[in-house]
Amino acid sequence: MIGPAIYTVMFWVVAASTVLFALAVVNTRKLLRAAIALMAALSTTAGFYVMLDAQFLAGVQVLVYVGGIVVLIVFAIMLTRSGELLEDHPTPERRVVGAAISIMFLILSAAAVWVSPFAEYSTGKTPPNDALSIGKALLDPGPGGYVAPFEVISLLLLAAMIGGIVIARKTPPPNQPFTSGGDLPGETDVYTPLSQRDPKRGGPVS
Amino acid sequence: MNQLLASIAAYAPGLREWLLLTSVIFSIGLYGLLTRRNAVGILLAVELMLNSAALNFVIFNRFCMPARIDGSVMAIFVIAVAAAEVVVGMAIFVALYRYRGTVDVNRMDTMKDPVTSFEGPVAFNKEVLDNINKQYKSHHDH
Repeated sequence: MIGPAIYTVMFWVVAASTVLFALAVVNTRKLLRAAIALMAALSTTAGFYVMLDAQFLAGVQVLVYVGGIVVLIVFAIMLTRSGELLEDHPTPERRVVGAAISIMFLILSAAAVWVSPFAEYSTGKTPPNDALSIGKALLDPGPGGYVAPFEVISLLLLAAMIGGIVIARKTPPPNQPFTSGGDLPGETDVYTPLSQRDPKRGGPVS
Repeated sequence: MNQLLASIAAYAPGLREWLLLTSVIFSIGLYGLLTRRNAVGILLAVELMLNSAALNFVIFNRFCMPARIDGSVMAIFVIAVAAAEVVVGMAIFVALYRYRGTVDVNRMDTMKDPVTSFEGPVAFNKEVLDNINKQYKSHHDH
């Protein structure tokens, strides 16, 4: 009897704190604080994964989301100096329209959830949510396996990595997209013809 | 004491409560998406929405298909896609900041037609069009 009671109290406390953190993410004026609030919201989501018997996912959530994605977002805030520039308060009409649209969406989805008859099987056995069965499902080529999406997602990650490097580096000289020269100051000038550039300041590599 | 615990446990979350929670988080993310002006703030809101969607997969897995793990696998895919999205988004924002000096999405209007965006629809004014074409050529014809 004490187990379900503790579970219930934990759910409502963590749910309330998640909603508060999420509100902080969208309402704080300083973006760095919003990023920290996002980190807290993602951590409480890891708690939700534990409560849903998905311990491996909770670990993945902490490792990838809290440890990786939030750090990347903090980098983005620092590199674009969004932390210093205060986010302007949204104008009242913007606020009202945004709140109206999101509340309408909430009402719609809540109504859909409430009237839908879901086929619940809560009395069945708990999911075998250890890393072993997830890994087997990811690499299973048979029916119900996920080996093709797994390969596609690895390609996507590779493409995102290369794309991130290519987009964020300084502009490379024309016709030489992958040389190491992109960081020299003269190479940010894409309009000067190659023949007129100073080789020492990032002209054509001879 | 037992009665108190039982009355607390009567409020145990079912499928509908979990789904309502993720709907609330998703709506908050939607609000942030619509009201933020800084592109990084919009990215934060999108992360919130993606996170609640991944949570939905696990909830349905737990309540509707408890003997399988497909929901967890889909949640892993969602997390991987979110990571890729953040990497590309951050690269775009850094490049954008380098060129424009700002990441305010209200000022990202370069693709707007310059002929129509300033003085109304003057697109058929031959003189204006020629002038723009000339500027474009002198800018790119090296």
